[in-house]
Amino acid sequence: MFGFFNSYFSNDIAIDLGTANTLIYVRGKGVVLDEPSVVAIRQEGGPNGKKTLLAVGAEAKGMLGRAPANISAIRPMKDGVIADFTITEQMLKYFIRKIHESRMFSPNPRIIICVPVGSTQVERRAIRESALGAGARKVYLIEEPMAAAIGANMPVADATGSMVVDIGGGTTEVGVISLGGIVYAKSERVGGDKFDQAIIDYIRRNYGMQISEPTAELIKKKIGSAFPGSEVLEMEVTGRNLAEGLPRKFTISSNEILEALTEPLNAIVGAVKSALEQTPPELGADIAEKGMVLTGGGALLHNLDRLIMEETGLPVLVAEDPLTCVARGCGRALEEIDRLGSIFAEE
Amino acid sequence: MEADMTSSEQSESLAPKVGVLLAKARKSQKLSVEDVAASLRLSIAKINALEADDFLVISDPTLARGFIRSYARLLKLDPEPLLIAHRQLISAEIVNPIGVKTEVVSSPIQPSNLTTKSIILGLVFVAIISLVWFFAYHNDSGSDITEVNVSTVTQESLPQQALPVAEREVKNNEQITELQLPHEAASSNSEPSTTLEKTANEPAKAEPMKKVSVGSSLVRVKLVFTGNAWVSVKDKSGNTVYDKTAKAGGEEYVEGVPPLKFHIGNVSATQVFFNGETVDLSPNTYNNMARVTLGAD
Repeated sequence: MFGFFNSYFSNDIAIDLGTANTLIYVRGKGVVLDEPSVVAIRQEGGPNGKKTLLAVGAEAKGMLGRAPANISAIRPMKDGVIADFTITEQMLKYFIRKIHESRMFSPNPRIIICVPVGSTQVERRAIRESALGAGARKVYLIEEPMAAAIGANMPVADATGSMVVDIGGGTTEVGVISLGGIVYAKSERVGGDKFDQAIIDYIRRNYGMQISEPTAELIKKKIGSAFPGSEVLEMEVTGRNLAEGLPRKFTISSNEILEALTEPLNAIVGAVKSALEQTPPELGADIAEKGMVLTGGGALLHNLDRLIMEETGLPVLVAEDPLTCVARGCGRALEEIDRLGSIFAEE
Repeated sequence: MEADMTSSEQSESLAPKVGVLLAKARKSQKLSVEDVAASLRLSIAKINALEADDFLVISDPTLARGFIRSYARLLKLDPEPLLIAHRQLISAEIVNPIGVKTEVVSSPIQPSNLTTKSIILGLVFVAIISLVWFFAYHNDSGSDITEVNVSTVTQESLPQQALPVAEREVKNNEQITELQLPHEAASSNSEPSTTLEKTANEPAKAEPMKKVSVGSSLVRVKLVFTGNAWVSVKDKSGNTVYDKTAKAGGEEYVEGVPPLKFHIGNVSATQVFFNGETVDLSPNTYNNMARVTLGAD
C-alpha cells in the first residue's frame, strides 16, 4: 500500500559493497558514489566508552595509519564479505543518507547488492541484514560475476559462453555465463589487498623496511606489473627501517614488484585455468573465440591481461572502466528489476 | 543543420581512421599481421578486419572495442581516440540484453494455450456439474414424493393417540366385542364397480384406494359422517384399505376383500351401511370407539 510513497521518497539503488571501495548506483542517475570502504571510529572515555562515527569513505581512508590511539580507521569488509557487521551497517546507512541528503524523510529504498559467488549462506545473510538495518525496504542479492558481465556489456542472455574475471579488492571471481545464468563460477580470496600485502612482505623481507598499506597500494598502482615489459619503472618509497627504527627512503623497481606479486598472480591464473578446465567444451570454444573479459580494480594492474593471455593462450580483454563494472552491472539489473528474477541469487 | 553536417563530416573523417591508424602504427613498428595475431591470441582474419574497419566479422561491438583497446595498447597507442572513432562508426551504442530471449518467445504462447485449455476445461466442468445436479434433483424429488406418501400413511395409521381428545374422554361402554355379521356373497353386491369418488376436501388420500383392484369378491361399505371421525379399515390380508379422519357431513365408500376390520373413532358421529342396512355399532363401542368386522364368513 505504501509502495508508491516509498518509491517517491526513496530512489532504488544498487551497491557494489567491495572490500576496497563501495560504489552506489542510483536508478535513473548512474554511479553517484565511489568511496573507499573505510570507517573511522572515535572511542570516547576509555575502552568501554561510547563509540562515535568520525568519518566514512575517503576522509576515513586518509586517517588509515595516521590516527591516534582513540581513533581507529576500520575496513569493515574483508575478503569480499563482512568482517564487522555493525560498522558495515553504519557505513551503508551513511552512504544511503549521503545520496538522499535533500530528503525530509528517512529513505528506505529497494537495494540490489552484490555478493561474492563463493560467499557462504551466513555471509550472504549478514550482507542482507546489514542492508536491511541500513534502511532498505527490500534487498536483492546478485552474484558478482553476473553483475560484472552485465556491466561489461557482455551478451549474458545469449546461448554463447562469456567468461568474466573480476579482480576486486578482496576476491577474484571467475565466472562462465550463458543464457542468463552462471554455468561455472569460482571465487578465490585473492585481490588487490593481497597484492598490497605481498608488496609489504616483499619489502620487509628484502629491504628490512616497513611500509604502510596506502604506500603499498601506491606502489602497485604506479609501477606494479604482472608481466615483464620492455621498460623498467622505478619509484622512490619512504618506509621505516626495521633495524634502525627510523624513516628511510629507498628506490624500488617494477621488476621487483613483479617478483613480489608472483604468488597472488599465480593464484588468479590458477583460478582462471581451473574455470576453463571445468567449462563445458562448447562454451570453452566460444570463450576461445571471443576471449575473456577482465573487470574490477585488479584489471588495472599493468600487463595483467598479457599474463593471463600468455598463460592460457586465449584472448583477454580489459573491460571499459573496469572499476565501475560491477556497480554498472548491478545498476542495469536495477533498471530492469521489475522484469528480472532469475539473475538474482538466493541466500 | 550546419552542426549536423559538421558532425557527420567528422564521423566520416574519423571513421576510417580506426583501421588505418592501427595498420600505420603496426607498420611503423615493423610488425606483421601474424605477429600481432600471435601476441593478441586473435585470428589473422580478425586483425585484417580491424584494420579494414570491417566490424561485421566481429559481431559483438563490445568485443570489437576490447580488441581495438588491446591492439592499441600493444602498439603503445592511446586507445581512447580510436574508441571514440569506433563509437561514431557504429553510430549507436549497442546494449546487450540481460534477460534471456527464450522467455520473450515462450511467454505469448503459454498464456494463450492456457486460456483455451482453461475455457474448454471450464465448459466441461460446468456441463458435468449441471448433469449431476439434474439427475440428483430428479431422484431427490421422486424419493421426496415417496417419503411423503409413506409418512402420510404412517401418520394416518396412528392408533388411539391420533384421535381427538374429546372423543377419547367419552366413557360409555366398558368392553369391545366384535360383531359377526352374516356373510353375504360379494357377487350379490349390486352396485357397479366404478372408480371411487373423491371428495373435494381429500384428493390425495384416495390414491391408496385406487390401487385396490375392484373385483367380484369385494365387499362395499358406506360410511356417513355427521361429525369429524377417524376410521381405519383393514382387509382380509391385513392391508389398510382406508385410514383417515373424515370431515362432518362426508360420505365415504370402502371396498375390500372381506372380512373388513373397521376401527371407528367417533362412533356417535358415524353411520355404517353394509348391504343397504345400517350396522349397529353400539354393542362394539367402548369409549365412543368401535371395532367391527364386516363380511366375515
